[in-house]
Amino acid sequence: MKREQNRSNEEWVSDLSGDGDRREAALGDLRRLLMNGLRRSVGGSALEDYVQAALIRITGGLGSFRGDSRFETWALSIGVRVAVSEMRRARWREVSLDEMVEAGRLFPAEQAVNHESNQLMQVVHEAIQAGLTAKQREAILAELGGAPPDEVARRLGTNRNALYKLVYDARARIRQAILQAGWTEEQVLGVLGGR
Amino acid sequence: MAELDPKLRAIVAMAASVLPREIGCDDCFDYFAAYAEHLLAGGPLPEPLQMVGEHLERCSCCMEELNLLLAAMKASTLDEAP
Repeated sequence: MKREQNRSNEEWVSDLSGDGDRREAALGDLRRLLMNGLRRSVGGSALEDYVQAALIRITGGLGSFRGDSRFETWALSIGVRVAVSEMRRARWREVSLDEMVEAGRLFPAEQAVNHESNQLMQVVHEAIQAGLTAKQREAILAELGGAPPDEVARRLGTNRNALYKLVYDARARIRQAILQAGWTEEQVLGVLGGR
Repeated sequence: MAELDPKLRAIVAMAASVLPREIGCDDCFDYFAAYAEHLLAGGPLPEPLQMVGEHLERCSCCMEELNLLLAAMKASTLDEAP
């Protein structure tokens, strides 16, 4: 049987697209590759389930493999994403969107530690409250509270890619509000640097 | 000088790090495997992969997955050793 390290990208795709013994051998090698890679990186008690789900995703998406990396790396990237997404889903299952947002809520401006940060807190607070849509506000506060974007996206009825764009627009609006309030980029970097 | 509130620091950093053009998670994932291989090989990144790097600095999910992919790649390399 041909082992995975001896297959070219083209052979991987050809073998997995075919049928019979060649396909079975390739599936076995791919499964072993995923098990070895994920066991020592992602881990978890549901490893077999992750690998099975990844195999379905990989074999169903062979047409999207462009060949700009080794097939093995591409397959592992899918395996990691499948496994980590499931692990995040399990870890955050009991946490509501409201709890995620609450965890990210900023302190009121009067609790800031000094005059400079007090001013900046006020600007940021106003930008979040008045300058963002409700969805943008929920998304950015939930992320600020440490919730993973894919779990925030799930609760907002969207996907991770769309959430990134939503948060991008929110970040840009807050940045604009800070600059319009008279802060220069240098001053902002100074505050971030603790000077 | 007293420390800036960590959440305020984080949100100001998020705002300050906005680039005129950023790719999303889907585009990042399209180049994920190629990026990981370039990273391990070293050397300068071609332009599309530079945008992947910029995205990774701003997306905690993608960055976590990159680190796990690199670990998985190293693990599978070890398995191939005689």
